[in-house]
Amino acid sequence: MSDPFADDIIAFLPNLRRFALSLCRSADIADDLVQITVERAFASRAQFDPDTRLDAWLLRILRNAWIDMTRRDKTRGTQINIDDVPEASVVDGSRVAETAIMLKAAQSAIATLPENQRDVILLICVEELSYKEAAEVLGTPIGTVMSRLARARIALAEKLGINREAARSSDSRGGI
Amino acid sequence: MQTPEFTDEELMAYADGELDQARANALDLALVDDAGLADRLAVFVDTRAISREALEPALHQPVPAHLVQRVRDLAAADPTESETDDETVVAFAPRRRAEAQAPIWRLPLAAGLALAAGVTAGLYLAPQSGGGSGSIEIATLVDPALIDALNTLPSGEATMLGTGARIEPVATFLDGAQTLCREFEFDRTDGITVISVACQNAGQWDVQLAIAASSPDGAGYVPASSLEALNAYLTASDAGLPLSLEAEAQALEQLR
Repeated sequence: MSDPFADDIIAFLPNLRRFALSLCRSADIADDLVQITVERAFASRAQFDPDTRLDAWLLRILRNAWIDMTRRDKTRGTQINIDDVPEASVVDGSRVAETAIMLKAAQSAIATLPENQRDVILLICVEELSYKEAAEVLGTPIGTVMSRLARARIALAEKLGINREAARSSDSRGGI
Repeated sequence: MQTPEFTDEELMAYADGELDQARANALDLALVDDAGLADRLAVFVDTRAISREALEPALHQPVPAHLVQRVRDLAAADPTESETDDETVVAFAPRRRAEAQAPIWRLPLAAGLALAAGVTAGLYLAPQSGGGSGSIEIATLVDPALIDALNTLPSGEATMLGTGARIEPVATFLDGAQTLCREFEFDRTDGITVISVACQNAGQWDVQLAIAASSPDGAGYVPASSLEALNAYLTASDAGLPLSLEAEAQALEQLR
């Protein structure tokens, strides 16, 4: 009775919603996107290669659905304006002891990244796809994925005050 | 000596376990002498862990029931369901580091950076290629003499490695996931002492934490912040009490 394909999709729904939220920043639209994704997944089930990762395949369907949606209507108009997202305060990383503060700062910092940088952070650092898998999801050359990802992480580190200088000054060897 | 140059993309690929082996080996060597390089690497190690931690809560939001129901309805209506092949089950790659591990957040940030600084501390490390069990793992030990010492040397005893470096296991313990771990001190030939914790993972020792703990000027003191970082790590990883020497010997025996 149980269909492993469906079970795997259900298990991955939270990840799909997370990615959808990152793309569209609206819970309602995110759920619509996830629903479209699962419908397309079943419709094109025969094309899924079981030797590849189902999660990467689903993420690709979701992203394509998002692109279709933004082309087709003006959904983007309902996005949260980037200026409304609280700017990540630049904090002194060496003094941050409070988990919640850092978590919030990191969430805000990621939210303020340009969309194409957020995508690669989500797919690679969060969903743990390989560079190659992420390139396939995004339909982008792997070199582009890597340069975007590097820029995104350097920007993120700077927003969070863990830039290279901070790293060096907190080096416990001191005195160097 | 000419130091090879590494691009941001290469450092990032190393942090992500995607740098090819030859370049990773070259980077291992370069990191030994180049603190600036280690700082650049730390940015990529830290941002990966931080991104993952920051977006973890989004996974715990309840999924609307209608979405789950929609999948079930689609499955029920799907003509291919009856011929379901078992292969579909393995289509998911194992979720790497799926378990909640000691979040980097629980460590003072300086310690988080020291995780990468461990690379600069002169341990010979191979990049993590995924499959690790902890979000803060950065590397696997590859120096055979060091591995041999961790596999055999009782805590409290020191041995000199061929290079002139010295290693002394401090304690052996099981972490919250019942993984065998060893805390050890590693004295580099240049006078820097590294305090480190390595845990067993698939037959290898993965470095969990490495802190350069004394300055190369010979002062030889261990800053309190190093030990605070270590203690924070031990707390966060739910480390058990050190094993007795007898239990330690048994545990190490099982590695062989």
